[in-house]
Amino acid sequence: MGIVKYIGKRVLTLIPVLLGITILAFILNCMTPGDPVEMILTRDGDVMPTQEQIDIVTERLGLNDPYPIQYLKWLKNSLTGEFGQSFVTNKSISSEMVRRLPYTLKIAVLAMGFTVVMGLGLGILMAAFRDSWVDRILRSLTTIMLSIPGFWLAILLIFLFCEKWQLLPSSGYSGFASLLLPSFSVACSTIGVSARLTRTSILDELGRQYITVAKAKGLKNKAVVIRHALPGALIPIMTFLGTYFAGILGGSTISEMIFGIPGIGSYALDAVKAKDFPVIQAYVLYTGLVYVAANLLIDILYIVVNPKIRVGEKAE
Amino acid sequence: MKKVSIRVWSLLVTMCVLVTAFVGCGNGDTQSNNSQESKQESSQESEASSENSEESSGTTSNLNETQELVLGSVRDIIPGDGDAYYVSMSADVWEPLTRDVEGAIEPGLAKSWEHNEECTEWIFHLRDDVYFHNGEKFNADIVIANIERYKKGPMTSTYVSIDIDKTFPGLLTTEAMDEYTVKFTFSDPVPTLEYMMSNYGTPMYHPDCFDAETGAVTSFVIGTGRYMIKEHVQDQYAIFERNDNYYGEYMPYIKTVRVKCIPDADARYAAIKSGEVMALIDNGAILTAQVEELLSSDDRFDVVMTKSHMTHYLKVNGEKFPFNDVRMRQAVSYAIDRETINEQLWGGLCTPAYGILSYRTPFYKDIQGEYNMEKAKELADEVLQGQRVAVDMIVSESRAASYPYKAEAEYLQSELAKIGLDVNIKILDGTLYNEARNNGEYNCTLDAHGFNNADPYSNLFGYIGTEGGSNVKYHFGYSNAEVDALLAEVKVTADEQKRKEIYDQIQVIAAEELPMIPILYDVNVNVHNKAITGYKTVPGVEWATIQWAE
Repeated sequence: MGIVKYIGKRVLTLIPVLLGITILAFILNCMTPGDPVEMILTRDGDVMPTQEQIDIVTERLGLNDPYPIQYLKWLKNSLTGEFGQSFVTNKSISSEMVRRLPYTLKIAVLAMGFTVVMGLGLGILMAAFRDSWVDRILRSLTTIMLSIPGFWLAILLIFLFCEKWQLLPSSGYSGFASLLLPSFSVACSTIGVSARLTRTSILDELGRQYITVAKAKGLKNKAVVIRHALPGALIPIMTFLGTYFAGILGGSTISEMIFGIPGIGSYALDAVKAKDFPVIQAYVLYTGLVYVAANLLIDILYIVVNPKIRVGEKAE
Repeated sequence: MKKVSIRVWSLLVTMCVLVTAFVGCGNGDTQSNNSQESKQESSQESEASSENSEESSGTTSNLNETQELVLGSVRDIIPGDGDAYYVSMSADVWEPLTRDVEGAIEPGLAKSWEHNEECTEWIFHLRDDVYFHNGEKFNADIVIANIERYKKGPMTSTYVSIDIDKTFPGLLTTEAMDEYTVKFTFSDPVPTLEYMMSNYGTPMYHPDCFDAETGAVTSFVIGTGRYMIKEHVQDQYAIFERNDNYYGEYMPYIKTVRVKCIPDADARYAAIKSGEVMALIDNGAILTAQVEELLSSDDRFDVVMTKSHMTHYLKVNGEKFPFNDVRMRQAVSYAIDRETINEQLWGGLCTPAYGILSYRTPFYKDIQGEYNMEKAKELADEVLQGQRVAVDMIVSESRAASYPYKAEAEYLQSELAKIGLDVNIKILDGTLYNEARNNGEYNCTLDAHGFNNADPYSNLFGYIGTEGGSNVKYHFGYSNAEVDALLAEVKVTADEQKRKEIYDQIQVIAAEELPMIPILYDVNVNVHNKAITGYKTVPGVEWATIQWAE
């Protein structure tokens, strides 16, 4: 099967998945308690809205329509990339997502960079020095890394790098330096997981027959690990990292909130708090698309990394 | 295998390069008043000017001109288009017709006003020396254009909504009597118009910055205030520049002010401690415990406290037993040791409250109460007849994040147990909290509210009027014919002294019958670095008086 045909087929099968996601999100929104109109009109917290005001806003938001009609209207608009206006800020959701996406992307890409470099690096070291003191220390370190809650690490990093040593800004985006702490706090636990996964995968590969042959040919341990075992070991790691990357592209909510980065995650969190239906809907569709695209990309990367894998075939 | 290895390493190297290249890219959504400037350039300029000023390190006035003042805020001080006001009043970009200064109404863009005996016709005399930031003159036509804008509402905001019916109830006509005189005619008497128009009641914008059809702000707000918006990156920072053509009595010292949005409490604390920001300016910008820690551990900082318009209450469901009985509400009030709550949980910063009105309103009556557990038990026993009753106390998650409500709820739980109430504390997410409150599925709740203008009528009516919106909706179940009559009377009373007397009577009744049980009057706590002076709050921070210390 040609790769283009394969991708086309995958994309077609993903359409009902995405539709299903949006319908589920819509139903969940409808079932969630709370009246968005009341929330909008009582934001100042002092004065109760009149029935006339409630009626005006309800009509303006199209909430008088039956649920299926509301859903279909939204779906029709979203196909053209128009997600409507936020109930809370009255701003265009599409514009707001486009404005916020670069911040989330930057955090995601840098966090991915940390994870790939440190996770793979530590994993290779642990595998190369299996059962030595290096391995034991790094295993402990990675256990700690994957156990630390992200929000706690974020606060600790702010305390150390901003308050104590005054090396980095505490909040907001002001260039590369301001992304280091949020990205590392997002990446930390994944570094731990990917390092351990890399170690296990490499050790698994090292037990295979072709490695024994390579060693028998007199290749050094370093060359065996890096040139032979690592490529094979990368497959499960790539699956893990791909899903992880999709996750942070959906917004590293806690990190964005703590570090004051106005990304997609903090947008979604604010929307959930305020019961901002249109934003939540748009966010669900966006994350669905990201996951679907990430999975597709992972499949393609399998082929790039290991040509032995062919579409519809199993790796030997 | 060698080819595969090359592919792997190529992939890894490519990823590293992409990461560096991509992350290093600047963002492109900076809005500037003059031209689109990149944020990096701005930061570099800022740093450069800061360095230059340090080098010159001369007089305070030099620093004021050259060194940017950076302030930290909980939220973006410019909510932007979509928000009724676009920018917070505390930024001093726009100005109202009248001002509420510590509860007293003072002239703003209107220098004086008068009304007929029935309070149905009001004439406002405008200042004739006011110019907008775009150089155009402020006059009666501008006021009329803004009133027309309010009619497009209600327009929502993170501050208070703009609603013509709230600020100008029963407005029939608005007319320009001459270039600087405006006349408002109402269908019913409006005795406190100057109160309702104060501050957020009448923001005056140049018509060029809003859509006449929808009322929506379409560009940077063009106001008449001491500062102009120079640059804004949504949810990141806003830069304000001094309006050197300001007409008013005193010109701000600092030429450029940057306000950073720092939503997280720990990050804000780190920012002020590291010197990244010189002061925190929003309500709740610093937690009580952090104030104590900061002041005790570092002598570079100072704290400025002012009375807040917020009051903390135990609000009760008066439609349900046991709080439908006034004796039970009184028992609870006697059982609350407000001094202990203040000292132990609020760092002694607040003031024990026994009256329903905020101690910041001009109509506040100083009412004192007492902590008397014996009396509380006696009253509770009359109601409960020796039985123990389970009550649900709900607390909003967001309130619990801003105030020590969780500890306060636990304290009340232990105290109220002594009078026969077994309190079940429920910390609820905002949506569930509203749902429980709206459906009356609670017995009591810790909550706070403030007053949106210096005249407390609308709030008092809402909370304790028999038909009051909050009273009905939140199931407070309070109804007193005498209070209703007093509220009806105060609504049409223009005489200030008479109004004060009526409000006094209402407060005495409320302290006796406790439709809501006041606990503490809140305080605004603002922390600043001693590198700046003239830091005062009104209750928002007054930027105009701030300057760099020598």
